[in-house]
Amino acid sequence: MAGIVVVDDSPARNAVLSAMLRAAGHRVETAATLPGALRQCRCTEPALVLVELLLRHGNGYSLAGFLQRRTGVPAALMVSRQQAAEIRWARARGLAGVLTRPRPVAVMQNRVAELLATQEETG
Amino acid sequence: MRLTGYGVPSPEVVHGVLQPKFRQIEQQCREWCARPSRQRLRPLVSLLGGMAVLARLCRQPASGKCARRALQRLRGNRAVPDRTMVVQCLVMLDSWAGSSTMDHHWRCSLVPLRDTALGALRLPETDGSGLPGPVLQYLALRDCLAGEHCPVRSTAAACAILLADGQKRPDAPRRFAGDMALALESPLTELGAGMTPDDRPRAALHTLYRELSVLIAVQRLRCLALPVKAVRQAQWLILMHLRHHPGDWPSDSLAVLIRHLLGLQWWLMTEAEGKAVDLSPVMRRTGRFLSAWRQACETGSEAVSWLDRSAREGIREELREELYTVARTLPSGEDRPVSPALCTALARLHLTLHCTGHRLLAWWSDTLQQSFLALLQAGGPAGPLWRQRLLAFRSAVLAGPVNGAVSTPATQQPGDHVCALLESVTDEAWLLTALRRSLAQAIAMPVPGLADGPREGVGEQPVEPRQETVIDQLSGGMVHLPDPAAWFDALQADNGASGRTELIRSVVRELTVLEKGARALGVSRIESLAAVLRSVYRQIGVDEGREDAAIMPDRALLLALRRGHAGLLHRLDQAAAWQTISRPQPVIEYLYRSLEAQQSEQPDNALSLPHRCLSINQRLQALVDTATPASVTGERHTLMRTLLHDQARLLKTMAVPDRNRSGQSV
Repeated sequence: MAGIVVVDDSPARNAVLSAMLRAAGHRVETAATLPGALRQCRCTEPALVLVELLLRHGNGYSLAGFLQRRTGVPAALMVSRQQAAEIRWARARGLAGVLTRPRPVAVMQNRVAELLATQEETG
Repeated sequence: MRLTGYGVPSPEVVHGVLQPKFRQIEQQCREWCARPSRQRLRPLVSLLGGMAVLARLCRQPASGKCARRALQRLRGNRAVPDRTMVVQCLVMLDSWAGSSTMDHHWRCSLVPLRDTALGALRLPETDGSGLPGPVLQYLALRDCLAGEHCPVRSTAAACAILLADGQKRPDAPRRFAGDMALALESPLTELGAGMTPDDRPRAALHTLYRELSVLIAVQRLRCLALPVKAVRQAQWLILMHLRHHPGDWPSDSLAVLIRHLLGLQWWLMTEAEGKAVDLSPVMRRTGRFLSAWRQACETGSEAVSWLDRSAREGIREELREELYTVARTLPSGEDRPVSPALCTALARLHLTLHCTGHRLLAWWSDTLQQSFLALLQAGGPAGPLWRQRLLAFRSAVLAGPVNGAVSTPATQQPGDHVCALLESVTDEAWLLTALRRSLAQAIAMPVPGLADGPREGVGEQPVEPRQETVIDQLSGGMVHLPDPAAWFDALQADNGASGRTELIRSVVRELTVLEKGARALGVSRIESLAAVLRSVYRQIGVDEGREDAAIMPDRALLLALRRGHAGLLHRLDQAAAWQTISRPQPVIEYLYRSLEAQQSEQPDNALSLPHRCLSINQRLQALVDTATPASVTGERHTLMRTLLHDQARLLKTMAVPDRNRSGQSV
């Protein structure tokens, strides 16, 4: 199973999503800040980074773009209300994809698996 | 003379018995001042504050002054490690000693009730039944409070607090507090149930104040059962707010607040019959939230800092942590209350919207969804019975528009209570819609109007068409602007002059589209930056319509452009994430200075203020020269305004030393 780093400054959301992904058999690490995310990416060499869009300081687009450029790990954005414009901007920024949550566990797990499969194909 | 009974002491008792005790506390205070200790400060301040309040209740000004003097000595002693607590205590006493309506009400109602209560309390130590004296006394007071037409309930409650406070056995206050509040509960619940949106404007504030005073008294009784000091502090804050701004407090907010407090009490009440549930973390958070809320209400500005952050940020963080605490502290096991999370969160949503506007909705609904998900996940704290209650909640809240008042009978279910909270936001239909969808999605149940539960797109929130267009416009048709690093790498690669020119032209085209889109949508900060970047390209000879342009910018200007594009991308990210877009002035200034430095071959930092002012003036002139009269009002308007703003600021900066100089000469 793939390694995933979840970047969100909300402990509750981090915990929920981590539990969800671990249940699907992924190896999950969490980070709340950019330095933490960089550290996790360097240490664990994940297959995917999931970044929350609405962060307390800064925003997810910039952070995901920076992480992707700096570490080379594909980064996807997590949003609470998915809109076509958000997907378009994420695509324009070169991000791996957009993940809407909360969803039923199975739907989210499938979406993550889909993102990982796409990255494997393109990578 | 000795202190008999556990009720409100008479003046004689205070004079004869408590006066030496007060002096003893004062002596302790002096000793503490000689050898300060952080650990012993809090109990000492509590003792002194309690003494001052009690002295005032019992009309013993000498004792009150004694306590105040001791506190003032503490405040004036620089060796005291944490004087904030002392200052807070003094402020509280000052507010208590004022002559506002609340205090007047309390003081006036105290006198007749004290006699009534003391009459009831003056019971023999035993009556032959084997019960101890304090129990008999509290039973008598409870009967007094439970009377249907008790005219002075607030003072009765105050006496009950004193009675409960005076108990030495640790289990007694809990039992007393629970029973006393039980006696007061039925008249109080009428307030929340009887108030409809139509009635609210007609509801007299003094009625609410009176009921609130009773409510706060009951809440304090509840707090005695759970050692939560923060809630008491929060209620003091509410009282102080009412005292200082009685006219500013909207009655509907007060009603919501009262309902919120009633909700907490209701749950404590329910659980008091069975196993006690410790809600103290939730209530402590409530206290902190209320203090932040009050601060935000008073300042009325998001720019005011609070704990080194803006008030809005502080409240946002507070809410996040609060919901997290609610979810985390709920006891595990079956048939435990999930409803406190719902009630507190929903009530607080309304409060939040009152003080911070609608911008928090997306975040809030998201957090609520996450909390529900955590609460209702397999093996989570919500047992089968609570799932059924949530079903009732769903059918009550989600079945259709909530019309009018929702009754709150004695046998109410959690859903009814939440309905009563939601009823207060019926004027905000969009909010109800959003709440219904997010709640339904989180609870993973079918919703009327939405086919068969959660599916793709269910979570989409309604957004204004204009907002949607902003994002679409800003994200549509861009290739190079979203990835400036790749673009600059391509530019520096050896593509030949024509390749470079075509590359730059495509970027200029994107900038033109962006500028026009941003102008049409009123996003002036992005429009200004895009316009400046385009004008930089124009000045170095690259424009859309010119075929002869093939200039490769030098290294310094390339760096400036790179920085300008990074700044633009940052602001586009902010716009796409619905965040406040940063001011573009620093980037604009940097770009202009780099361009002018290249043209005049003068170092950037060599420009003095008058020269910078002059250069801005020249930029304005250049813009006016290159623009037609019709486009000055449209295309260049925002940029000119930005430049003029900078120029005005610089002129002001220059004017201040001149004025000082002229003042000195006079």
